Amino acid sequence: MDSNRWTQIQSLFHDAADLPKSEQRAFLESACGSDDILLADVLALLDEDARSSSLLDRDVAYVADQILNDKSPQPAAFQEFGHYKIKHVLGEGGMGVVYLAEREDLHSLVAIKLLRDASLSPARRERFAVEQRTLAQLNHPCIARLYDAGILADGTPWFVMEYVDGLPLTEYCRQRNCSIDQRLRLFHAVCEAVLYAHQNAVIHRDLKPSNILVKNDGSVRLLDFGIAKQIDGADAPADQTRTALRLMTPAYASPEQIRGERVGIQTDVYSLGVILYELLAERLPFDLSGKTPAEAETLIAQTEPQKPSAPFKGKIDRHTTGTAWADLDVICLTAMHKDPQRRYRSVEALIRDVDHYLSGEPLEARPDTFRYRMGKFVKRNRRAVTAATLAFAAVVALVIFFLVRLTRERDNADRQTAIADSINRFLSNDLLARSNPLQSGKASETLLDAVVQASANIDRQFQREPQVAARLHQTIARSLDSRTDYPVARTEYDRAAALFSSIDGPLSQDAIITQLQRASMEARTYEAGSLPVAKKILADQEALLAKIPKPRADLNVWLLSARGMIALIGNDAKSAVQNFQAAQDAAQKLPSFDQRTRLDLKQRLVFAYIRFGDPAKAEQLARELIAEYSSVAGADSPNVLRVRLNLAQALMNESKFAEAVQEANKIYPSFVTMLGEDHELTMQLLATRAQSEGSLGDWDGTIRDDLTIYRIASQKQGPLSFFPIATLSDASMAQCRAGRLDEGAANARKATEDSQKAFGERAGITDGARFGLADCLISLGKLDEASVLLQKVDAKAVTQLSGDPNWSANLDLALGQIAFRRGDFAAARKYVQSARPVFTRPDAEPYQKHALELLSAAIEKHPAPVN
Amino acid sequence: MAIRDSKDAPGRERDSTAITPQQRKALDELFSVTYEELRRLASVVSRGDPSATMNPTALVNEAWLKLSKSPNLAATSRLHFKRIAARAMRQLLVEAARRRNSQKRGAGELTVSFDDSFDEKPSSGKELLALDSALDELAKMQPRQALMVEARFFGGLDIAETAAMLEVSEATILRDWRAAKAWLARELHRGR
Repeated sequence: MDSNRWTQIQSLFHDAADLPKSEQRAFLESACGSDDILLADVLALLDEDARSSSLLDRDVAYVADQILNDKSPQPAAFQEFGHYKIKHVLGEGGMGVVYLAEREDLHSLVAIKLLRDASLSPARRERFAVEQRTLAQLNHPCIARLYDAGILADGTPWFVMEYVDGLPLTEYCRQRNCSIDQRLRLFHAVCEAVLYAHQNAVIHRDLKPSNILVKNDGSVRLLDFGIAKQIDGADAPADQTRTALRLMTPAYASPEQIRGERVGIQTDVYSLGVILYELLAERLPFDLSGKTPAEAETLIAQTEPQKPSAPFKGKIDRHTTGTAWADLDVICLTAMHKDPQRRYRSVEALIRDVDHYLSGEPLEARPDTFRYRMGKFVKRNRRAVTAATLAFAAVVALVIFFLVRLTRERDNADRQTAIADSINRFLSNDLLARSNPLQSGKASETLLDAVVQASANIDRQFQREPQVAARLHQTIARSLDSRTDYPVARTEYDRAAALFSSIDGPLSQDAIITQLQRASMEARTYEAGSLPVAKKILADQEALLAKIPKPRADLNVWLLSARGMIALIGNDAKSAVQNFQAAQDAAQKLPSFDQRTRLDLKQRLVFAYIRFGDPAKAEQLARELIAEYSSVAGADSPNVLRVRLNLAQALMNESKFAEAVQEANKIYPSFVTMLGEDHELTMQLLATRAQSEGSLGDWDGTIRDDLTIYRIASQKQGPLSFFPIATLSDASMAQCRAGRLDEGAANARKATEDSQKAFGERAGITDGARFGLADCLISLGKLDEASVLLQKVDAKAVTQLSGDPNWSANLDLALGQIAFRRGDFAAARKYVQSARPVFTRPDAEPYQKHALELLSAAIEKHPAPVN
Repeated sequence: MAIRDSKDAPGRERDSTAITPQQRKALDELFSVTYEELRRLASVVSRGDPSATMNPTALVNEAWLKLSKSPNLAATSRLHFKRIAARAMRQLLVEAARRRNSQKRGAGELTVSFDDSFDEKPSSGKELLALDSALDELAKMQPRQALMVEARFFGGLDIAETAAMLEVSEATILRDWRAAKAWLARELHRGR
C-alpha cells in the first residue's frame, strides 16, 4: 500500500465512522465504486475500530512487564560462547557474573565475565570494539590478559580473561602475616602495573583488593582494567549517573567519582592510596558499616581520614620506627588527598616515594599538605557560577585594597609597578590559572564569561585610575591568550592599547608593547589570513618605534619576540632562531623582566631550533629550561609540559630514539591529566613516541601508539578526516612490517577506502594509503592486486604530500619486489638500481635499507645473461 | 548517508532536509545515553520487586529527571527528550523481546512455561515484534503517524504533548490515532 492509498482509506474511514452503523456500508459502497479492494480495506478498519482490542489499547506497561521481567539469560549465554566450555560459576559481584571456562582447543582455563547491567546501545557498541582492542594490547606480567571481548545480541558485554588463581591482596597479606616491607613490595608491583596501563592511556577506575590477586608464588595480577568504564557508560563526565556508582563499593572510590565528575589517572592514584592504607593499617580509612550510600558518599568526599599509623601510636611495630610511620602516613594521605591536584601527580611519583621509603631516603611529598583545609576545598568545588561571581568581587576588592594601601607609596613609578604586579599575580596565579580547562569544562566557560563581564565593568570601576584599568585589560588579554581564547583576547588587547594611548599619547610605549603581544598572538592562531594581519601590526609598531628616541629596554624584548614568532609561523626558522635568541639575551640583561615570560621566550627558542634543524642545541636549551622552570612553575604546568615535549622531539631529531621514547613515557600521563587525551600537544607527544618506536623497530609500540592516535583523532575529528586516515595508514604499514599481515592489510584497506570517500580517487593521501596497502599485499603474495594498485599511484602527488623528495624510491622498491617474485629478474634489477642511491644513504630508513639489501642479494642469485 | 537514513535513525525531524553532522552526532549521543539509562532503570526496577509493574512512562520520566541535569541535554526540551526516549524504549523492548524469542527456540534444558502457548493470544513478546514491523510499514506510508504512535505508546505522551510535539492540532492526533490503532490491529491479526 502506498501513502496516497492510505490517505484515501483513512479519509473514507473517518467519514464512515461518523455515520451510524447501519448507514456505513451503503455510504462506502457508493464512495468506492468498483474498487472492491478499497471497500474491503475500509470495512476491515471499521471492524477493528469497533472491536477495539488492539495492542495499543493496552498499557505498554503490561507489555514491558512481560518482556523485561525476565531473569535467566544464562543458558542463552552459554550457547554463544563457541570455543569455550563453561565449567561453573566463579563468583557473582555487583557488576555481573564470572564463570570459569575451559578453551576447548587449547585446554587452558579462562574466566568469562558478563556485565549484566550494562546493556550497550547500538551506537556504543562500535566504540566498545575499539576500546577493547586497546585493552587487549595491555601486555604486562602483572596484568591479567584480556583475550577476547564481545557483545551479546541484547547488548550485554562479555569479556574473556586470563584465569588467575590467587587471593585478594589484603587477604594474602593477612594469611601470610606479611611485614610492612613485604606489603610495600607487593604494593610496588601493583603500582608498576597501573603505571604501565596509564602509559597506554588506560585508567582502571575500580582498583580494589578484590581486583588484585596474588598467586602462590607471590606474583601479582591486576584484573578488570577498563571494565568499569562500560558500566559508567558514556565518556562525558556529567553522564556518569550516580546509579552506576551504587553498584560498586564506595570504599575505594575517589571523591570525584562519587560526585560524578571526570575521572583521570589521579582517580587510580586515590584508589591506590586507599589500598595502601588498608595494607598498612589493616582497616579501611573510613568506617562505612551501617551507613546509607548517601552518608558513605558524604563521608568520603568531606571527611579527613585518620592517619594509618594512628592505632599504632605507643605500640610501635618492632620493624618500623616512629619516623618511618610518619613517612608512611605521608605517602598514604598524599595519595588519598581529596583534591586530585594535591595528590601524587602520577603513579610514577607515588612509586618514587615508595622507593625512597624502602631505601631510607626522604620523601618528595611534604606533610604540610595536611594542613590544607577541607573547608576551602569544598567551597572551591561549589557550583561554578558562584565561584566566578566570587572571583570577580574578589578582584575588585583586591584592587581597591591595593589602591588604598599604596597611596602611601611616595615614589609614583614604584606604585604603578606595584599595583600592576600584584594584580597580574592575582589574576594569573589565582584567578585564571585555577580553572583547569579539562577538569571542569563548565567552570572555565563560566569563569570566562565572568571575566568578560568583569572587563566591561573595569573601565567604570577605575575611571580615575586608567593605568590600572589598562593593565588589567592587558593581563586578562595575556591570560586568555595563553588559554587560546583568542577572540576575547583580541578585544582585551585592543582595549588595553586604546587606554594606554589615551593616557600617554600616540607614542605610548605600553600601547606598543600591547600591540606587539597581540601581533605575536595573531600569528599563533594559525587562522587563515592571520599571519598577514600580524605582519601589518608589527610593521605599524615598528613605524611608531622609529619615532621614539630612547625606547625602554623591555620594549626591545617584545619587538624581537614578535618578530621571532612571525618568522616561526612563516616557516623562516633561521630568522626565528635569530630573533628569539636576541630577545632572550636582551631579557637576561633585565633583572626586572618577568621571569615566567622570559622562560616562555626560551621555550619558543627551543622550538625554533627544532624547526631550524639544530636539535642538539634544542636539547641543551630544553634541559636548562626544565631546570629553570622548576623554581617557578609546577612540574606539570602546561608550559613545562610543552618544553618536555620539545625535549622529546629534539631527542628524536637527533636520532636518540631510545631516549626520546623514555622521555615520552615519563611525561605522557601528565599530559593526559593536565591537557587531556585529545589535546593537540598530547597527540603530538604520542606521534613523536610512535615515530621513535618505529625507528627503533619496536613495532608493537608504534602500532599501539598509532592506533591510539587513530582512535582519539577519529573521535575528535571524525574518521573521514586527514589526520586519522594518515595515522591509520601509518599504523597499517607498521603492522605489515611487523609481520601482522592480515591486520595490516585490513587496516590499509580501510584507510584507502576512507580516503577515497573523504578525499576522492586522486588525492595524494589516497595514493599514499594505496601504496601502504600494496606493500602489504606484496608480502601476502597477492601480486596482481598490488600491481594494479601501484599503477594508480601518482608518485608526484605523494612526494609532495610527504615532503620527502626521494619518496618515489619506495615505489621502485615495491615494483622491484613484484618483478622479482614474478621471475622478471631484469626488471627487478632495474628497479633496485633506481632505488639504491636513496636507500644506501646513512640516514636512510633502516627497514627499507634492509629490504633493499635482501632483494639485491636475492637478485644476485640469478645473474644477468651475458650478451 | 545511506545508513543514517534507515529506519533505525533516532528522532528524525519531520523535515529532515539538512541535519548537520554535529546535530546528528548530538542526537546519537542523546539516544545512546537515554537508551542506556532506561535499560539501567528497567533492570533496577525488575530486580527490586518481582511483582512490581514495569511502567515505561514512569521510567521515561525518571530518566528525564536524572538526565536533564546533564549539560549535554541542556539544549533539549522535555518534549524532544521524550520523543527520543520513546524511540529508545521501543528499541529496548524489541531487543528484549527478540532475546526472549531466541531463548525459547534454542535452549535445550530450559523449560518454556509461557502460558500463552495455549492461548489464542500470542505472547506479548511476539506481539511487540509484530507491532514493531507494522510500525515500520506505517512509517513508509505516513511517517508522522508512526512517530505519533511511537511517542504515545512507548513514550507515554498524552494527546496534548503529542500534538505539541508534532505541531498539529489535538483533533488531528485523535483522528490519526484512531486510524492507526485500527490499521495496526488488522496487521497484527493478519500476521497470526
